[in-house]
Amino acid sequence: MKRVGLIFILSLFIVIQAFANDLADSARMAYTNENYAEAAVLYQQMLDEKAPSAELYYNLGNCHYKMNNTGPAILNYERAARLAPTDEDIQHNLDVARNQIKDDVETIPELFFIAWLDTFNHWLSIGTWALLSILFFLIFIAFIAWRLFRKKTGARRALTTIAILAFGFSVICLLLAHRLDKQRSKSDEAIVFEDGLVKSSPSETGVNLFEIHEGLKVTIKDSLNNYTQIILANGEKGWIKSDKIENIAIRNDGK
Amino acid sequence: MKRLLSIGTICLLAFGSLFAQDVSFKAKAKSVVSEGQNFYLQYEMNKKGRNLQLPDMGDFRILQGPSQQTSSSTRIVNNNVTHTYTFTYTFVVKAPDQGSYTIPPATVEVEGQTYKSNRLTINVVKSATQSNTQSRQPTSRSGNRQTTGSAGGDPFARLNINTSTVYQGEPVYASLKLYLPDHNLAGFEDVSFPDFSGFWSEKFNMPEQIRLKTETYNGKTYYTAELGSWILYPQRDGKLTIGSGEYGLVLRERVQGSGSGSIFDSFFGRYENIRKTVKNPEVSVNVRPLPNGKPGSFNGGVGDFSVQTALSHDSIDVNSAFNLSIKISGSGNLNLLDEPELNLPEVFEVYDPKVNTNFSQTINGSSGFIEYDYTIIPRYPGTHKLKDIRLSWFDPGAGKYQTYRSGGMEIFVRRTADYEEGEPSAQSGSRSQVQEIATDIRFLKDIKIASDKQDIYNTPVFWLAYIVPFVILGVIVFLRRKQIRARQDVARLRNRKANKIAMSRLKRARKLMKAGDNAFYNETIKALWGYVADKLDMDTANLSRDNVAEGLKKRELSDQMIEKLLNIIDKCEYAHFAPDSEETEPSRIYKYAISLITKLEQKL
Repeated sequence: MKRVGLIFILSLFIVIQAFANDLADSARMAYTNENYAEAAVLYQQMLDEKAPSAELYYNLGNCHYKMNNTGPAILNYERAARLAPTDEDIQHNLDVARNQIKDDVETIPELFFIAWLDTFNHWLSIGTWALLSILFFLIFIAFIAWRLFRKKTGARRALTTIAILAFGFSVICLLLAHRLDKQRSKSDEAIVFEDGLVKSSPSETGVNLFEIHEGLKVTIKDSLNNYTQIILANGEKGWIKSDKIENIAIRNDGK
Repeated sequence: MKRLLSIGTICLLAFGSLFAQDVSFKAKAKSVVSEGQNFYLQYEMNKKGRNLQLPDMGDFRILQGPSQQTSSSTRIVNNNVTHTYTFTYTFVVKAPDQGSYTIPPATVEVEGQTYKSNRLTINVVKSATQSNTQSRQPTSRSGNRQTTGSAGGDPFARLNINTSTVYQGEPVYASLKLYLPDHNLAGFEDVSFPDFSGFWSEKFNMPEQIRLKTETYNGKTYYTAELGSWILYPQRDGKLTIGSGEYGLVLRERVQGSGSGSIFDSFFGRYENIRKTVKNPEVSVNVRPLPNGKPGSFNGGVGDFSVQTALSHDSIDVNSAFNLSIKISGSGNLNLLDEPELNLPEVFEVYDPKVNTNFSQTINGSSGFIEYDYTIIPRYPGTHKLKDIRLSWFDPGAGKYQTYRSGGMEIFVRRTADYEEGEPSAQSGSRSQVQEIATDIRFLKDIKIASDKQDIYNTPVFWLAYIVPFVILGVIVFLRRKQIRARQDVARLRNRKANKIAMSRLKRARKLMKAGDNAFYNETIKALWGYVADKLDMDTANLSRDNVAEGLKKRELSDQMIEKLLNIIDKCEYAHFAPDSEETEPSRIYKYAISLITKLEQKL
């Protein structure tokens, strides 16, 4: 009976895989035949059915880019970049797509040490940083324990030093993992999906401050009555209809 | 003969006069100076002269001089060579009291001939230095004369600006006007214009001849003269203050003698030149900074502009040049714009632009156009898209930034017969780098079957990985502590029992001694070693002379005691092999051992 169950599960797994591969193949085929809308639907379907992956978002972004949907293209590239911050292809396509944005907003450049920290942070994935942290913690524990069984003061001092260093590294790795996790799940960034007017207050009667166009990245500050307060990279603030923008954060339902 | 002679004389005379005309000798000085003022008196000639004879200078006092100066220049115009030579004597002269003076001609010798200069007439006027600081306050006059006819008060100057609040970079029109109550301006002396620091200033109108107009200001009619006007472009924000300038005026004023003037004097009045310095009051301009949200393509422009971009060709042969022109027209700070940035793909070789400007200063700033003409050579055939050219400027009228977008322009580059694929084109024969022809997104990625693996971070397992080893460490520490304590207990027990054990051993040794057994020595050694081992909490098997000595030293036992202990052990061992010597007599050793242990018991 047990065996039958195992076989059943195994075969189901194979079927799912085959199905997925099938979808991926047909999406790819559609894309190469310049049938971008169809490819987009297929990739979206795969995203809805499975765990989100950087590759799926990237491919979906490509489809939207080819259909000249700057907003959705950038949104998907941004999501892909969240999952794979170091992927060079994603960054490249994101840069290319950003060139299509009509708004010309001057971004304030990051401080050099923040940029440096980001580079270092992205060097390893969250999981790797987390494992490193555990590893250093184990080293710390092991050396503290070893220290208990040594009597000579010189040896004890050396062991203590190593233990403290290991503990420090463990904390640093943990913080870096935490930082990456926070960046990935940041929920205050959105992409403008559709050109829209930014108003001074969250209502139809608010004064139109400026217009923003699809693809622009904004920071979400607040929301009220179907309106969301946003801040542009250059510091300008205003309210826009919530359906004009889409949060970059990947929701659990895969959307 | 007579006739011939007369012709010769005429010729000679003519020649002589020609020659004489060649030498010029002129006296130069200001025609109007004020009382006590120092001024230059110069004698200028076009040949080097010597033996300058000054005339009687009268009331003028020579303070300095003569200093000599020569200057020469050569000009060639249409093969005509002109030499100019100037030789100057300069004196510094102090003017006497007011009045009209004449300086008679001076003489100089040039090439043996004596020449006379012209006569100079100099008017010395009353100085008005005491009344020059506050231009609009009534002047207090000293002396016994009073001015008449000028009911309007004193002259003053004003710097008028057309607006006092502007954005940074927005032009301000400033005009400097002189207001005179009377039509009596005779001339100017030292004029220094205001210092426009904080502004980029362009001259707008600097009249060479001053014309007086009438204008009503504060309910009074004045004769006004515009001394100059400027267009000012504020270079920073905040309150910018334009300092005052100083303008030395020479005014003709009618004075009345107080007492016995002649009939003509009192009837017509007498005119005198008076020097007066006026200052314009400071003017400040409130400069607002440009608002936040500068677009990335902002080029510093502030004004009302329009932009046109044009390509000279739609299609062109590869490696031939075409032009891209960016024309910015309108009015504002056109003269201060940054060159637009072209980000063309590597396919194009772009040369520095030719800049055509055609603008003039108006009240609204620089008005006209500035055109950047780029020469571009495409190096690869195909249809190339030029990136969107963007230019942003600030429109102070609308109070916001405006951006021009060229949209995607395309150029078709034709392949020519002599073009070779991958040819590094006109560039030097060395290997060229890979050149980007166009940008596009990269192709799809392979979909990996998502292993549905979640990062270990922030999962229960993750935190357990910290907690479990920590708990284990805690257990280890606990056990280790317990072990150490237990061992300490054992050590204490051994310590306490050490004496008893040693004594019972020695007692056995005494029995052996009495029986005359040689095992006495062995038992004594055992007693001593055992005692030390118990006291030092050491294993009997590990005992050696060295580590016992070391251990005892650590317990702060004197070297002498240690020596004694080791000595007695040595003796016992020796007695094993060679008994019956005086030194190793059992009873002595026994006593010695007892006393040693008693002593050690006190110390350890």
